[in-house]
Amino acid sequence: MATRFNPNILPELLVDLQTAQQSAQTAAQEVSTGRSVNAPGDNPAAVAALVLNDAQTSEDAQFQTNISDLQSKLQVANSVMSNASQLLTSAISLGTEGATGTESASERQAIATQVAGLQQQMLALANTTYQGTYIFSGTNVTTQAFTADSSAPSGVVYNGNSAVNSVQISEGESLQTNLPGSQVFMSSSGNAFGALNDLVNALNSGTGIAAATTEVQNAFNEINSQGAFYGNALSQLTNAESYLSQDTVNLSTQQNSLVGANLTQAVSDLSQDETDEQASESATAQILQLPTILDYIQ
Amino acid sequence: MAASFLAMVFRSDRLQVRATAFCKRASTKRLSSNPQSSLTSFFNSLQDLSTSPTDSSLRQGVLTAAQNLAENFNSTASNLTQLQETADQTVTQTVGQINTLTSQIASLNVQIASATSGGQSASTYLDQRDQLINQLSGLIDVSQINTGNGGITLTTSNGAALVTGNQSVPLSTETNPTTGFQDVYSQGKDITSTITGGTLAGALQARDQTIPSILSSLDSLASSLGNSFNTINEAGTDLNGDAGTAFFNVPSSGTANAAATISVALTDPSQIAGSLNGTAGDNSNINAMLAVQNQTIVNGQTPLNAYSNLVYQVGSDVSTAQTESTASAAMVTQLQSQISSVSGVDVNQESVNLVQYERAYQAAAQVSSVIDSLTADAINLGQAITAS
Repeated sequence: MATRFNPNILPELLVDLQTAQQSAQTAAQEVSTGRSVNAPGDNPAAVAALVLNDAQTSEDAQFQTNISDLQSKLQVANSVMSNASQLLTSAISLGTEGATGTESASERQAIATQVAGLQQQMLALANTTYQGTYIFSGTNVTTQAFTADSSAPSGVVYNGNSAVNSVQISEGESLQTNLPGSQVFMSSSGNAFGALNDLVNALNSGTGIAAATTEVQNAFNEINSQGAFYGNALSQLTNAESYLSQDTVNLSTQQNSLVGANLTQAVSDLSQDETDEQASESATAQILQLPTILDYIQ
Repeated sequence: MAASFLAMVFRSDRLQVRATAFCKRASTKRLSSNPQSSLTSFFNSLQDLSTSPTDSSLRQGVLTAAQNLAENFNSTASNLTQLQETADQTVTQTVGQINTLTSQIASLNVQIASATSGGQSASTYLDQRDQLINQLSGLIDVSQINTGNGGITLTTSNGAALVTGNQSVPLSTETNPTTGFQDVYSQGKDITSTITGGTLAGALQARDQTIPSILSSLDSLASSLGNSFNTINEAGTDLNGDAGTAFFNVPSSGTANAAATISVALTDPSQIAGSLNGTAGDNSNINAMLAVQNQTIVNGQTPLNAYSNLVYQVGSDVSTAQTESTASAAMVTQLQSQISSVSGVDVNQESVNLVQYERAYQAAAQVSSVIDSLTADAINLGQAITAS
């Protein structure tokens, strides 16, 4: 006797139909969202990696914000340094003029007054603020960095501290964001305030002008070498910025490879699934219409 | 036999469907407003503050981001707890359905026994009972023992009686004093942990294992983050020059309920202790807070890796449940098809049989008719002889 087949195959056909429909739906979802992964269950490993990718992308965007904040602040400091440098250049020419020995006492005093003016300007530069905080006070940013004090050897007192801050500008890379004013303007290898004060006193007294001018020259060199810090910091920011742009592109590529749909594949799957579905439907309809022996018995 | 096969398959099928449903809800609906983005935002706000530690609007930004993070932990935990409560309700409802079915099966047993002993066909009752057993096996794991004369005994696969002959053994639920959830009892004995199939096992698994495991990972994350930030903030000096205080309120011991209860302890932006040397502009302690991102504070993982693993765990649970559900469904179809190929009604076969029986009837009728006419002839012959 022949093997008895299942006379009621409709449930099986329905399962086939449902499978074809489900598969078409998945493909349609991929095509419409552009993502092959739409819930953690679709691909747990990819979604877990996506969590890290998202976080990294967001962190990169934050680093870029940090960089643009720092750029404004460092540019302010950088221009202070170049102004201070110009100011000391003027002081050197005035000192050189006073040191020639051809000037009268009153002429020297007039020069001294000019240098004293430069001294005031230097004090204003050293007390520059950025968004309400003093940029040369170390981390003591709410206190004015320098105050004039005629009893002090340099004519000023430093109220800040020697601490520095550093800020992350990319994963694992930090940038020192400030120089303490004591290091910039009152360094032992070139004390701008002390030199200007000495020059004013020398011009007024008429002695030691050349030595005081040399002091100013040393302070000028020191300011320029300290100023390089800000230039370097700014170029480090530019480098970090371009690294971050590239990293953002890489992350977005990685994200796409993790969860992005292969559209060509998805569209072709969709059309294949639709064909399958139609075939299943047509087969089901035909089987439903198959005659039985009763149709022939009169 | 076929019925108990089906019962077994239905059981695993339903279990997986339930687990899938729970995990799907957990993953898509509940975790979509996820703690990851608020965690990242929190660290980003600290990055902002590190560039300008005295800026009060940036400080406020950190505090707001911290509040968002805490609220996100709270709402995720509370959503998971709600799912747990839904599963708990399912347990109670399912126990009710099981009791209805077992009492129906017990009364069918009575009818089958009386029909069989009266020599009548009990096939309608048997069919009904098979259907009920199928339904029952979708709710709980069922083992069937035939006791002769159409009688059956039903137990769970671990031997707790459900139906013995004419008696059903109702299950009951009792509140567990520790968890507050319903335990399942049979004849005064707690059988919760022995249930292995059907909707009931699915709900129990989601309630007692799947969701608690996610919750506990979330608790570890919340607690580790909270404690780390507390330690760091307490080591620093705030904007007012005061010693730092706790950043978050987290349970003082253990991690239980940390995600549900975490909140921001600081009330004013100036209380963020960003300074280590005491001056307002120092950002060293903010950098220390930022470093938490890369510290393995959550069971040997960084906070983000811990969260990423949690997502993986949920996703993998869902994926496994879906795969097993599909496989079980295919098995059910296959077995149903096998049953049908043995016991299904084939119209052609039955029609042919019908024609055959009709022919037999016609033949028998023909024989009767021949005998009738023969008998009539014989009688007539007798009369003819007598008359002559």
